[in-house]
Amino acid sequence: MAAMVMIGVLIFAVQATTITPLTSSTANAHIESQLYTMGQDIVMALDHSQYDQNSQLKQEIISWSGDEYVWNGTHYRSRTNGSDTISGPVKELLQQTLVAKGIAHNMEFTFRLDSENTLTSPYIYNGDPSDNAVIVSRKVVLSNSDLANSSSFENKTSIPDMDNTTDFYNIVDVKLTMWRM
Amino acid sequence: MTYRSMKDNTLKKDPEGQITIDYLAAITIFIFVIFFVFNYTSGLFTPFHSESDEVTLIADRVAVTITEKEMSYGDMTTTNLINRENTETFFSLLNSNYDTTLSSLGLKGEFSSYDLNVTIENSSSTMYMGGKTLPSVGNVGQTKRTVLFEDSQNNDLQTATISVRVW
Repeated sequence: MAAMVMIGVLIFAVQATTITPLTSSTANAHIESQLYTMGQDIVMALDHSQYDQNSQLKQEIISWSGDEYVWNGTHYRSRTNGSDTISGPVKELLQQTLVAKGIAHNMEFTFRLDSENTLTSPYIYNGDPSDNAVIVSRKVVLSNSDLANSSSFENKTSIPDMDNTTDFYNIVDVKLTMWRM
Repeated sequence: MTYRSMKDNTLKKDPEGQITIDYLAAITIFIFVIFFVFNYTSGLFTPFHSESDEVTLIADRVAVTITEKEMSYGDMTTTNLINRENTETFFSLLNSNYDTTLSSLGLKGEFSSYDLNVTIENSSSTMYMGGKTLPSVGNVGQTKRTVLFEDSQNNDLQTATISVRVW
């Protein structure tokens, strides 16, 4: 009987301690909101088009080989071809911000295949995200005039031309998922 | 059980409505135990507890004001684009009129006031630094913003990190 009472008291005490969403821990709302701010800053900085040039993010999609890349400690290396790595402003910014702080991240491209279906292909993949992962996304519109050779672009990336009659090519949703290890 | 009544100092024989001193002592100890269990477990189950929640929120707000208003280029679609002229204006203001700048950011008040340090770094070095030197002890709230830094004189656009620290 006394043991039952003691266990009951312990359970009650544990239940009564206040752990709210604002309690400081590694998985609290502040960390998530800071990750969100950081992610928004990254995609916004990458999607800035200076003097009506293509943004760095759009350029990255246009020059995408269609492969999936994994961070190996120094480079984002292709899964299928080990000598193929990402270089340029996207890699530099991600390395400067997320990699430097030890934040794991995936980058995915989602685009329309036809009027009903979409396809999501990973661009940078570092594993399955945790429960406290934060996602930011940015939409990039591709036009026919952006692509030097649209048929070879479709072969590589499988992003199809949605409208043959107009200059509109496709819309790509760039999704950046970040989480603390 | 025979005992002496406190009321009229006569001997009573019925046991109703009485508390023995042993029972009272036991209950008191038990209540103390419950109190300490509550006190102890609340500390045990809040991991990585810190008191910096308040300053972190203030740092968040100040970082937004500095990045998107004070130093901003004014681009609606890229709110984190800052330019060199506004950045240098802000830092010269922060270093020459520290108290005025802090009260315009809402960090000085009758009830409580805070200190501020703002640093901008690019990939290789520290570009700007302003405000007070960081304290060696105490809670410091920090927010980092990734920005695009435009230098129109040298026709240069680079990414940088603004660190806003409030304590």
